[in-house]
Amino acid sequence: MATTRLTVLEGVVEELPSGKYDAALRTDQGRLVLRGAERSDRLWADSEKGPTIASPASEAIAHLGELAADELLRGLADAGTKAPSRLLCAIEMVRFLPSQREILLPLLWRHILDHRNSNHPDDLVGVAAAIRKYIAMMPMERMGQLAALLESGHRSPVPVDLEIEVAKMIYRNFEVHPPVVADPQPELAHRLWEMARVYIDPRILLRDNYSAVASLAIEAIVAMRSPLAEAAWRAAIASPYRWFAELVTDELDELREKWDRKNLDAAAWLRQLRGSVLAA
Amino acid sequence: MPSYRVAKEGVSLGVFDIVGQDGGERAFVGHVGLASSTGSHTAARVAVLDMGPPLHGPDAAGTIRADVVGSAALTDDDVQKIRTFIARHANEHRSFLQFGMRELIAAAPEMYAICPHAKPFYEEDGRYARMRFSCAGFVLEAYRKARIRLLDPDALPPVDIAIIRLCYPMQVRLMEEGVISPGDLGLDGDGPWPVLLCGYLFHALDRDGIAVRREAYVPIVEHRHFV
Repeated sequence: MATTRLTVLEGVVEELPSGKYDAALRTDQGRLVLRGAERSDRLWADSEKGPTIASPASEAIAHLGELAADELLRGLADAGTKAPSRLLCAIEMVRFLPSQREILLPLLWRHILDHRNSNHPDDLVGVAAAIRKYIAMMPMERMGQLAALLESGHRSPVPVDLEIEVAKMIYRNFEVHPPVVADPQPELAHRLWEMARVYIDPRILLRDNYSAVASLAIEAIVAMRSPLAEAAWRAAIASPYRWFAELVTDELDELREKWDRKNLDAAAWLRQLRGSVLAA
Repeated sequence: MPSYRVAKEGVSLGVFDIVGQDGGERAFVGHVGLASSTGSHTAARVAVLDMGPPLHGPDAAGTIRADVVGSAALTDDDVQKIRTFIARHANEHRSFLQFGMRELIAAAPEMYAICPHAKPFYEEDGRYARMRFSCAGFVLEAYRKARIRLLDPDALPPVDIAIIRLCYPMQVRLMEEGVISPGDLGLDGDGPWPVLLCGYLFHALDRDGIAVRREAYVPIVEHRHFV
């Protein structure tokens, strides 16, 4: 069944005590009155019952899915350090060819460095998208570069939301590509350990989002097969919050299962580490 | 803890209790989310953290109608684990809140998974920047992180495309119009497919508290309804 798209020119929407809505609207195709309409902030809630998108659905796709990676790349290069968050979010969705990655990576890195201290929530959404895309694409051997994002002593603190993204992506990279040799990025491991030691403090851990960044930092240290891994895991175990110890241990058990399918040496190392930490 | 259908205008919820909204047919649970706060709520409009899509995290809770509710009587420790799980993932879906409706639809395969219920969106070398969930998958994984295994994803009954269409009309429509591929939805092959349906969660919770925490529930297809 074809759907019709109306453009609302003006109107009034009234919220009823039931939580539903009545509305009187003037549209480009005449007046429209809605009775007992339900609110939805979901993309395809009840989409069989009403028009959610213009018809046909395939029309809707042109904007993002088929947007050429080249076009996004050009947009980012042209925008310089003023790239809008929306563009960075779109870039995060698209896969790039190796030749495009070589151009994209320095542009993303520049944007991250320039905007990581922003206090504007919209900016941070874009920086977070840039961080995730950058780390997911960067050469593994250059991951030490990320230590710069975790250094303390900047003029303003890096928002915890961004620290989550950095720690998470470091962890994920090593989850997917277990280090063949131990301690591939010692400086990065040290920065993570600095962060974990501060955030695991009982006065801080329960604050919004700090348990996420503390646990991810510890898991990233372990995933890097750092010499700090045992101390980091023990710190989680020693937390007065048992749930935190359980959470970290459960995540590292899942990491071991994944490594069992990827790299037996790394998995054996992690098994031995677990025995050592939990036996103490 | 028994699950129940909401018969009044108000509903009392604990934080991260599971809230379901009916879908296309009677007693069919079409969507689920986690109650964002403890207390009394208007059933017609409960604030939830859910995989809309897009994912509504603590800074941008979604709202749904509470037609059915289930509780595992979460402890403070369970709540902290679930809170941490959400904090780990919420940022990676915040990007989608920048998009308009058309772009969201275009990005559907990048943000949402049907089968399996949770699946990373991979770069070419297997690295990933985002976990995709179905709405039920987001809830199942949140509880799993609290060591509450409501269901065994490997023991889900296979369902055919008619039932999947009931749950995911938009995605199936996009698939049939060739906008997204069956593989985007995890529906490779002729089916049927072991899709996690929302109603299963309420049957899983509709047991005594010890059983809920001790063993995963094994649903049947009819449990997509909760009467």
